[in-house]
Amino acid sequence: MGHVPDHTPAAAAVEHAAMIAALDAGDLAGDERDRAARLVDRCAGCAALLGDLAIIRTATATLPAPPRRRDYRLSDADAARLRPSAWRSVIGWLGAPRSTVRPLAGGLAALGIAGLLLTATPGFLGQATTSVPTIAAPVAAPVGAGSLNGAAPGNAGLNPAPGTAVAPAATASAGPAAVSAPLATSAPGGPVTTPNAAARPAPSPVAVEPPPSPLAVALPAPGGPATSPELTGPAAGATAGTSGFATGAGAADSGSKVAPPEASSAQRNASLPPASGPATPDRTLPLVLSLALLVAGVGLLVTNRVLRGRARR
Amino acid sequence: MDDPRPRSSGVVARAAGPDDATARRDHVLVERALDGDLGAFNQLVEAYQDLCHALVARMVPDPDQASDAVQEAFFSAYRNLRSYHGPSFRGWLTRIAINAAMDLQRARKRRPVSPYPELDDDSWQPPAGSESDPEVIATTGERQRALVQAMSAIAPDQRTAIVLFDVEGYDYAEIAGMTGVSLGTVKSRIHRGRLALRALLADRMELFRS
Repeated sequence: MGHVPDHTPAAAAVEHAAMIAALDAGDLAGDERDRAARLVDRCAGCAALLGDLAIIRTATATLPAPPRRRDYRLSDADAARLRPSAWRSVIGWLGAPRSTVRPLAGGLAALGIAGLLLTATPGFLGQATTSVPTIAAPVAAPVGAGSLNGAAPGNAGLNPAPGTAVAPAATASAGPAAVSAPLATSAPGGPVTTPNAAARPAPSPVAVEPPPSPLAVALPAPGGPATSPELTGPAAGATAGTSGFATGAGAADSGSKVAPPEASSAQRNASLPPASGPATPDRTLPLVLSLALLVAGVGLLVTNRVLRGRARR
Repeated sequence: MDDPRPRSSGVVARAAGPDDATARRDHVLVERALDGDLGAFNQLVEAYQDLCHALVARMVPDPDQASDAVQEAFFSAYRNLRSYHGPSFRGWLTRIAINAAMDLQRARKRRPVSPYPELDDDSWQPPAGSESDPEVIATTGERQRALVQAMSAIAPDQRTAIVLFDVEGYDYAEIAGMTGVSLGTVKSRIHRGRLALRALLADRMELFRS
């Protein structure tokens, strides 16, 4: 709904009064001034208004000031209280309407938001390369009890005892070589068992002891007193994958057990540890930094607004 | 906290423009006050407290609030003395007082005030001029009381604009800068304020015409 001009006498009177006031103040020029002058000539009320405004303007300019009631000199206590301090300077800077607080706060908040978005973006900090943790893992994940360390004798499927044949994927958690070369481990003297064992010639009963891996030695076997050196680190897996021979230390179960591939696959999936923690880049620091920047920026903005509001009151 | 500005040369150097004695005196006193001489600052207070009070009292109808605003203006001046960049201490202080009065008027709740009861008291008379005729003095007193009452009844923004323009002599642009509004708004406030005063004084305009 558009503007409807008000042509009532009251509205015209208001408009005429405003015009006369502007004429009295000398703020009209050209056609407006001529129009106001014609109005004064034609309208007696307008002429009286113009005369009264001039009188009031003169009287206002000579308006006397009331007498001062108080001595405004500062006492020593006032001066001590008002003396600028570092804290008061900071508060003054935070509450100043045209200080650098607001641009700074906006910049900090923007950096914080950008940092949060970047941190949450897939692929940031090399996350894409860690989506398959078992491949890129430089260090074997800690293998829990009941995994591949063979700590529980008699459970040949999931927890092969030393010397027990292990499914090909048993080395999957060990490192890249282990993934690409599914091989079995067995106790010395035990038969080597692989998924394609049947297609192979008779395995040599001789087990080659791989060079000890420091990682394999260093990693304990949780949940079991006996630490099996095999399959506990990438070195072990890599060695197994390249040598093609089984390694092992125990001979508790020297009988050959062939793990069916399907079962071993399911077992492997069940026994694999979750995405390895050490392999994931640490996002905590950028996340915390971004949050800190965001909180600092928002805090500065809020502080500036509160202090300005308080100053207005 | 030390001010990184070269204080000893700063203020005085900037004060080289106005070379009248009052301005030079002010800048010397500011220098001494910045060095911690409270007496020097109080000399500045003595020199300008009447001026500041007269200005603020016209803007703030309530006498107590006007006194508080003036006191706050001097507190603020002392607190921010290092931000004084010249050239006129009087102008700098006047702006602080105007801001204090406007802040107080914004914060004040709308409530009836008694604008300077001393003006209602017949015993108080304005400073005597050349007129010594008792009738003239009485008429002048009544006129001024009526004007003060009317001034206290108009909107604070209009009153501030009228005082700054008619009494203090600032131009439109200066008032716009002080009050943070556009030049057109300043003009409009002055026009509307004068019309409001005329409406309030319509019954007593004979006092002013005589």
